[in-house]
Parts: sequence; C-alpha cells; structure tokens
Amino acid sequence: MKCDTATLTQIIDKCFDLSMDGRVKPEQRSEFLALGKRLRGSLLNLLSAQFDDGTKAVEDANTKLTKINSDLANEANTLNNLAFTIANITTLVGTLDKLIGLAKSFV
Amino acid sequence: MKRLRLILCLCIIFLLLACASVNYDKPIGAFQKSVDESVGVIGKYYQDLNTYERSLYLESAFLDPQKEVLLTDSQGQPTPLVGNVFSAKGIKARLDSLSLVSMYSKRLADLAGSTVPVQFPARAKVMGDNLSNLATTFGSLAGSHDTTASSYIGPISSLVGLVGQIYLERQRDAALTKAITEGDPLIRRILDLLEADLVNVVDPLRKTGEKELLAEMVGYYNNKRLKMSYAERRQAIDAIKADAESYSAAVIFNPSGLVSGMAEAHQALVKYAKSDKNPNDFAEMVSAMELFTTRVDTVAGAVRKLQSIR
Repeated sequence: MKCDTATLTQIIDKCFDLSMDGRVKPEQRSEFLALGKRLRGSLLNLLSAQFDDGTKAVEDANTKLTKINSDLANEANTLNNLAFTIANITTLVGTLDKLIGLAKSFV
Repeated sequence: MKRLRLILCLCIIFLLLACASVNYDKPIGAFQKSVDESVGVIGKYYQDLNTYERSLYLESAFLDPQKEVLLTDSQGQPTPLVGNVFSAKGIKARLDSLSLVSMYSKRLADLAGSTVPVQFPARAKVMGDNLSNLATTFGSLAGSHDTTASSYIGPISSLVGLVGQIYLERQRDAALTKAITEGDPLIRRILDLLEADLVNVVDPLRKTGEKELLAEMVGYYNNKRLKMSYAERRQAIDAIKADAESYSAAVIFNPSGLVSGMAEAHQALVKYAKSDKNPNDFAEMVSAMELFTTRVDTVAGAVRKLQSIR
C-alpha cells in the first residue's frame, strides 16, 4: 500500500507558489516556504515507503491529502483563509512524519 | 518455346521473391540510434538523483544560516547529505534495464544489417540447383546451332546469385520479425516499469526540487534586499534568473516521454512485422521512427539547456 504521493506533490507545488505570491503577507510566505520544504522532505521518504495493505494511517493520510489539495484548488477561498490553510498543512506535516515511522520498508 | 516458358516462370518467381523481401535496416538503424540517445539521457537522470538531492539540501542550508547541516534529521531519517535517497542497488537495477533495451535494439540493428551468408535449406537449394542446371544447359547449347543460347548464360548466372541473396534477405527478415514479435511483451514490460518510475518518482522530485530552489532564492532576496549591496543584489537577481530558467526547463522536460516514445516506436516495428508489408505499412513504420527521432532530439536539447543552466 502506498501514500498518495501524486496529491502530495501538488500540495508542495502550491505551497511554493504561495511563498512567492504578492497577495500573501511576507511572514506567511515564509511559512508556506518552510511547509513546502518540510512536505518535500516527507515526499522523498514516502516515494519509497511501503505499508501493509489496509493500514488505517495511510488511508487517513490519503484522505487528508485529498481534502487539503481540493481546498488549495479554490484560490479565492485559500487567500481569504491563509491562517487556516497554514494550520491545516502544518497538521498534515505531523501526520506524514508519523506515517513515515510506520513504513514496513523503503524500496 | 518450352525454354522461353521456363525462363519466364523463373523471372516471375524472382520478382515475387524480390517483392516479398523487406527493407528493415534503415528504420531499425534509426530506432537503435534514438534508443541509445534516449537511454543516455534517462540513465544520466538516474545517476544524478542522489547528487541533485544533496545539492538541493546544501543550497537550502547556504540560504538559511539557521539551518544545520546534518547526517540524520530530527525525525531520525537520513538527510540527503551522504544518505542515499535512492539506493545504489535501485539505481543500478534501473540502469541495467535501460542497458537491456539498448542491447536489444543493437541486436535488431545487427540482424537487419547482417550480410553473413546462411546455408540454403533443401528447397532453396533445389531452386538454386535448377537455375545452375539451366545455366549449364545453356552453356552446353552455346556453340551448337542454338545461336542465342550463350546470351542467356550471363543473366541466368546472375539470377542464381540474386536468388541466393534474396533468400538470405528473407531469412534475415524472418529472423527479425521473430525477434521483434517475441521481444515485444518483454520490452513493453521493461518500458512500462521505467515509465512508471519516472512519472511517479523522478519527475515529481525534480520539478518540486527546482521550484523549491526558486522559491528559496526569491524568499532570500525579498527578505534581505534592503540590506544588500548593489553587487549582492545583482548576484541574487542573477541566481533567481538561473533558478527560474531551470524550473521552466524542468517543467518542459519530460523524461517519461522518452520511454513512451521508445514504446510507441517499438510498437510500430511490431505492427510492421505482423503486417502484409505493403508500401503503406512500410511508410507508416518509417514515419513512426522519424517521429521518435524528432522527440529524442527535442528532449536532448532540453537536457543540454538544463545542464548549461546548472
């Protein structure tokens, strides 16, 4: 079983975009940059991570990834709720860190 | 009259043999050349994977003095400093797969261009013997009252040699058809695995890596620009320019496209091998090889640009 790294890639890309967006306050741009880098670090590990089939933590992480990616696709909503977006992505970072610890193997 | 009928029959047989012969060598030569170039590009991508991640990691440390350079991060995971993001064994397996594809295309090209004589089997020998006997017959007729017999000796002797050559080409083409159709499922499996690898692993890392470098340099410049000297700002802006170009090139460059190009070109060979081999079938195969060559040239150009930026 694998983590949805394709969706994670899109979220990382969006974080970097927001880090260079003039509509975002400078301090929040720095946060998006830091989050993008953390998530990319997770991506590096998750691309080769293998999990047992039916691992609930993977299913939960994939659900969270889909939700956050969908929210980020709504640009107007994202820009109006940046603090909320940052909080969500920060939680995602923690979720993926724990997930990496559960990997059966790295191929 | 009987002599004339016999010669006419032999000429018709010769024409049929000639038409049935397949001209594989140029399209297969083009396929092999493009495969080799593709394998070179994709192989370099795999070989540079760990080096690229290390560069990214150290560049990030350079721009952020708060960041330590470590072997293991706070989560206990190895950093890209010396840790293998991709295992040496994994990279070697992928490079070996690419070498296999390259070797296969070279074998096809060797076979297509082969001029090594092959022994006639029985029935071809019978035909050859018939023609030789005919040449002997005309030879014996020459000098007798049959005044035109000697004129036939030269062309019939050449025909014996030509039938042999056409037979060799048919043997070679049959061997090629066999190699291509039997190699098809194996080549497809290897290329599918490589394409999945590039699409799901290599490409996302490369594109997000280039964007990270750009975003980091942009953030660094925006945060520090008011305290920078003229020369420092110049240097930072030049770095942003290079990072932006590199990112743009990475977005365009599609290494998995080379693999799918190889698969499509090979499918064109398979289609032709299984076809009736009429001129339209041949033209279709040649077009597919030309398309593959063009794709490889475009990608090779993009790779050269990426390398010149970094």
